[in-house]
Amino acid sequence: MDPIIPQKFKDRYSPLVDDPEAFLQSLLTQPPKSFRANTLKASVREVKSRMESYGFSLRQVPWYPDAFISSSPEIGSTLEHFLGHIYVQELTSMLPALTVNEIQKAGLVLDACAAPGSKATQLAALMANRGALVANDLDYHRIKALKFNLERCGCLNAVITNQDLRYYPEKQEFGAILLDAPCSSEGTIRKNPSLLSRWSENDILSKAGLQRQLILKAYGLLSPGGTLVYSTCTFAPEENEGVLDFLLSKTEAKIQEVKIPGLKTSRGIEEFRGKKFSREVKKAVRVWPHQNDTDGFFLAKLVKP
Amino acid sequence: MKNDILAYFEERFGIAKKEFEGFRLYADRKGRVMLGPKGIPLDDKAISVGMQIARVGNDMKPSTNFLQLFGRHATKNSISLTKEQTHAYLMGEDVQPSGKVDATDGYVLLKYLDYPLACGLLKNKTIKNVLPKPRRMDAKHL
Repeated sequence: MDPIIPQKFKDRYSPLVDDPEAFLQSLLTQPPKSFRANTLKASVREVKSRMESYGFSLRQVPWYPDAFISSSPEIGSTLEHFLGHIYVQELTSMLPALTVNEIQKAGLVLDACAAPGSKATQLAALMANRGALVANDLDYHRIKALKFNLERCGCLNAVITNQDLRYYPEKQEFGAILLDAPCSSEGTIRKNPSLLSRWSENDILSKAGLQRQLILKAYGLLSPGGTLVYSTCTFAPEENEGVLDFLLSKTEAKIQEVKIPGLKTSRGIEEFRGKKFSREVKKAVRVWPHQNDTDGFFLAKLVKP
Repeated sequence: MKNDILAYFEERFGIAKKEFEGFRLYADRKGRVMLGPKGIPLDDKAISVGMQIARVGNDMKPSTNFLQLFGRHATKNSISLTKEQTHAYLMGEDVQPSGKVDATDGYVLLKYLDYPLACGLLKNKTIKNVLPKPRRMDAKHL
């Protein structure tokens, strides 16, 4: 049975999308299974050839050669998964780590909300285990999964902290920070249709309040010239452009254009329900689920002058 | 303890100390030895550093995660498993090695298709299962 999409939800997002019908339709289907080759332990070519030997039909992702879409959902039951040669990960979740400027020169990198570790393990791979990666998460119960995944993937440069980012110790500056903020997760409705039954605008507003505190703190932890990547898996402008607009009004932060050749994206929204955001937020990236058959995602790259 | 572990890896598996250059060893009070970055940011807040490579108690046990990453440098005390043996080992079962075993009793590197697979414990011609429970799986595709 198809999940019921609340009318309020349709009214909210249909005006923001290029093709409302395709958008709403996409929410009723599951996104394809995808994984990333973990280059700390194996080569992309080797992984591809092994996974194909099981009869899986793979499609290399045009904007990220380490990533593949698989015809089979059984990618988690493979030798490659046991060996840590692959990480089962939704495609849009691979975007933030790819967006960091010159990550190998960043030195010290913070993944602020890291559990269960999909982005942290990708960051460690992109850093080639050099420098140091601080993988932080507030939720102690999720730290176990984070540690398990970092170790399975052979991440040697990672340090785990279990802190509330809002009160994070300020004794160290980071060359790059990923803030994949806790959000209302509307972009993952395809995987978790039950989210729709709990969906409420109050939840959006409460998450937006938290996100404002988190982005301000994260920006404060950044060293001059450093990159802050802000991302959510939700559509709500209050949690996306609204949060960027807040940071821009409080700090000297600049938004940089993000170019991902091969991925269909939309620009950030300048106005929502009468509220005008800074024109800079246009440089943010929206990925609607129907554009590339993925989850929905939002992403912005900020730099500290 | 930290230096002993590198000497053990060299003596038992032939993994040279130089393979660990660029990283630092850390140890905790529970006998766990970790390999991690040279400097720890926020050292007083860190609840875990790098990867656990061994546990030191009555003996020294290399971790499966360690052997998967560094096992390709090993020159001795490794045993190759068949597909069936690999499946059984990943399920958490003990395995009888087939053919001639070129390893002495103690911890061994298990290999499958030349991939460093896991740590095993060779004792009285049986490979005892030492795979941590969360790592066990029913591998449908090998």
